[in-house]
Amino acid sequence: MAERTGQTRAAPAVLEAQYISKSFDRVQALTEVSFAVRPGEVHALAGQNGAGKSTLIKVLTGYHAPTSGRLVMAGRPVHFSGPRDAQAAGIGTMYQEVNLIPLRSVAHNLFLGTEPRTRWGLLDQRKLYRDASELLDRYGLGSIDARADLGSFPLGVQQMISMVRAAASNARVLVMDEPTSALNEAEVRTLFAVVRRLVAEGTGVVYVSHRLDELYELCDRVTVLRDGRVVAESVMDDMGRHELVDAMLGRALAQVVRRPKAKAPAADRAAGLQVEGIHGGPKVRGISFSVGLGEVVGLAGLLGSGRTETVETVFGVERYRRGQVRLGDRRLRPGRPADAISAGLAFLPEDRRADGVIPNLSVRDNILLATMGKTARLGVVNRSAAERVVLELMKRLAVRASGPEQRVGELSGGNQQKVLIARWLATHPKVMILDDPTRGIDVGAKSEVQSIVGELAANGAGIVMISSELEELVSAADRVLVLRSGELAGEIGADDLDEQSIVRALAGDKPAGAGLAAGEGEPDDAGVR
Amino acid sequence: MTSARNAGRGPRRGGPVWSRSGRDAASIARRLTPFVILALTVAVASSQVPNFLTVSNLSNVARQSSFIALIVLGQSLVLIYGGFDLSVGSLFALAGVLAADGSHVAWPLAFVLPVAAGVASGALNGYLIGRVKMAPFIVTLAELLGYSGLALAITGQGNVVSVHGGTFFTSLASGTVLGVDNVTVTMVLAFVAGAVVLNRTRYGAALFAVGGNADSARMLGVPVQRTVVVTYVISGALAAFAGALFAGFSASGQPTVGSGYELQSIAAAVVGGCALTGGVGTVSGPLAGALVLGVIQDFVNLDSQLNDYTQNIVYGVFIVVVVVLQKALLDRQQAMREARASHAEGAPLVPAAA
Ligand SMILES: Nc1ncnc2c1ncn2[C@@H]1O[C@H](COP(=O)(O)OP(=O)(O)OP(=O)(O)O)[C@@H](O)[C@H]1O
Ligand SMILES: [Mg+2]
Repeated sequence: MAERTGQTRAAPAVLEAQYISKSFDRVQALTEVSFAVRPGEVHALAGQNGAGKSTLIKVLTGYHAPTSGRLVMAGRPVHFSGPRDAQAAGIGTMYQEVNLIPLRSVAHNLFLGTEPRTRWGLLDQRKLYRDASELLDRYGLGSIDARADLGSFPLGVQQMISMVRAAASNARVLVMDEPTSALNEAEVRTLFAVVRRLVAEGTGVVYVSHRLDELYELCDRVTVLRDGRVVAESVMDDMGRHELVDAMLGRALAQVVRRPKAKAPAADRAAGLQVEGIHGGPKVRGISFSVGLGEVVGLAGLLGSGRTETVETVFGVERYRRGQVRLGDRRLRPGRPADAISAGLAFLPEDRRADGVIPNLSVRDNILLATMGKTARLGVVNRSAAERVVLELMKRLAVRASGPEQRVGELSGGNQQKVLIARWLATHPKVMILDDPTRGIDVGAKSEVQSIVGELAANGAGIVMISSELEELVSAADRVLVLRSGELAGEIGADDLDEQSIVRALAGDKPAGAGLAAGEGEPDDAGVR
Repeated sequence: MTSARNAGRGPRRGGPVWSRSGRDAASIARRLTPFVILALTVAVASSQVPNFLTVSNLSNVARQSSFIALIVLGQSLVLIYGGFDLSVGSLFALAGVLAADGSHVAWPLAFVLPVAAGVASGALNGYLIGRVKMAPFIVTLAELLGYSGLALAITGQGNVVSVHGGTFFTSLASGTVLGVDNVTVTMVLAFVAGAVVLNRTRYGAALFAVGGNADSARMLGVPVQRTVVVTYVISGALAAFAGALFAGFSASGQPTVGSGYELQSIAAAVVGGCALTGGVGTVSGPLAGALVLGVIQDFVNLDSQLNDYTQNIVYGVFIVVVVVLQKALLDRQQAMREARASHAEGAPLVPAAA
């Protein structure tokens, strides 16, 4: 168990929300929420997707003006007319999505608005880069070139830079909205270390995450939101896991049962997806596997192992040089996602913001986007059938929206992801590839996704599922393939499938199947995202 | 809940993993493109027209380009923040008329009157676009029409207004220093100032941020509205100043001059490497872009087989080709970046906390 940071219980709140309500035209997002962060504590904000966590954070940090209620800092009422005011008052924020400027250098992003200036009032470029490097160094990110464009870094690194920016402002309050969703293990450790250091110095931290482990490890107190209201507030350790989940969902969580494992007979495998020795790019080096209809195959691998690249190559996002991909007896043309889709393959990508929802379209249209060809006859969309599908999926995934008409851009982050999952579920594919489908969605929806995956398989679909959560692979998959350095490092069958065996295979203790050349110096062992 | 994130072995420390992407080939190519294009245009023109590469002709090109170049400078800033300004062409004409009228009262008014009008126009733009959130297209299009109507109304039937000569105003606009036209010097100074403002001030940094992503910029504490207002004010003031300068130079306020400058200035800025989507750009590139337009115009004037209509056709074809090229380079840069990002993904970034 991690060491606790000092808690000064009697200290007055460094930032307090009093009876905050916030409504958007049709949606009441927050109702009389009161919430206080004390100096030197990490205060968790928990709740389902759409519970109002991000909205509360945007009110606390001046992005939204509350409809009613007020903010108090160290005993004095404050009014923010924008995030700028909040920053000036000592509130550093990492918003849910990385919100830096990709086309500008890391240094410019770190110091945007507070750039060092010379006597003449001009930017001091040398000092800007030097300060940026020092700052990055101080947070253990010294290998990042402060002059490089932010957009040249992977999402996780951008998130770390965003953290440095938020923490660097000598903030009295640090607000973090799902800061770890794109981080690998080592980065998560660094982030935690930074939080602990700041807390020891007396900073108050507001922390949002759907990973309950993190909440219990890092946080001192927790406030639970449900439907925009505070439903519980407690010292973190006084609230058990079940209690917390029940408070979030407002009901008991349906127990995820480990689904009975299927063993796809050879015939079904032949009708499913067959990947034969594909080579493409540095991360896909001769990979073969097959997925039978009615079977769920998990794909595990450490960071940089080529999981995402492999499935992207199979689906045709990337091209491959050698080998072939077949669906049934149809050979898919390399580099042609449209061909894969028409053959009956579906793909939920990892980076849902870039490849994902269309914010200005309604929930309904976003869900139906990939099925247009199927539900339309002679160009006329079959309205009522489509509507049934949409409502059913929205209900099952508990998409929190005012209705199918609401613009997806207005939904909470997790609900946008649910809409994407629904889009691919609606296509009834023969084989479906899911790249980390439960990232950023709440516990309730996680278990719902798992049971939908099971149902799809039971109805004869083949599923490939990537996940960073081993528990999820164990309960959902029939067998698990382990990738390392772009090669298949092992396969764990239904009989041996448990978390330990996957951990062992990932670490390379027991290289089953196609082995890895000994001593190969691929820096692939930094952790799974 | 056991997560595989706990399964990683200790990562290694490495040397710097990241290279300076600002220096990769595609991005350097993109920065150089406007100058290469300028050189090519000059090469073609001088091979077709015998006395193109003479000092007198080249200084002629610079002088002719200097008026629209000032507009291009403002337009570039507007493009970098992610908007555009269609009002500059007719503002140029209106400013010329105001300068001519003002010159009869007192020569300083020949500058003060038009520039004040330009600042006011820019502030209005900035307010309507930055604060009221109206579309730049509608707002500045309305002004394009309004100002040219106003210029015609002031002059009554659209007559040319003569400028009161022999003042500091006219000598500034048409004189020379050390053999170089004052207007050319003015253009160079303005662009140097523009480069400083863009690259060495907080305003410039904010401009790129707003153009990169206005919503993020707001979350990061950038004063988005103020940045937008200031940018339109600069654009309006520069266009009006250019109009006044042109009136002094040509000794007349002409209510119909400058029509089409709004689109030509956008074209020059885009040729110069500014993206219509905002967030990228320089001021040196657009200067080259403005000179390219000047070279083409001069070439068309000198070449007996070409006429004014051909000039627009040449512009049109040319712009399409250059924009396609710029886009290809931008995509290439993006692809290289992604390749690097995914390559670097496996590399250890941070040492694990003990
Ligand atoms: N700009 C907006 N316009 C309309 N409704 C909005 C807007 N922003 C948020 N909402 C609504 O407010 C509610 C709360 O959303 P919020 O983003 O705060 O949820 P969250 O708790 O952060 O969820 P998640 O875990 O998915 O990030 C949702 O129902 C959402 O649809
Ligand atoms: Mg949220």
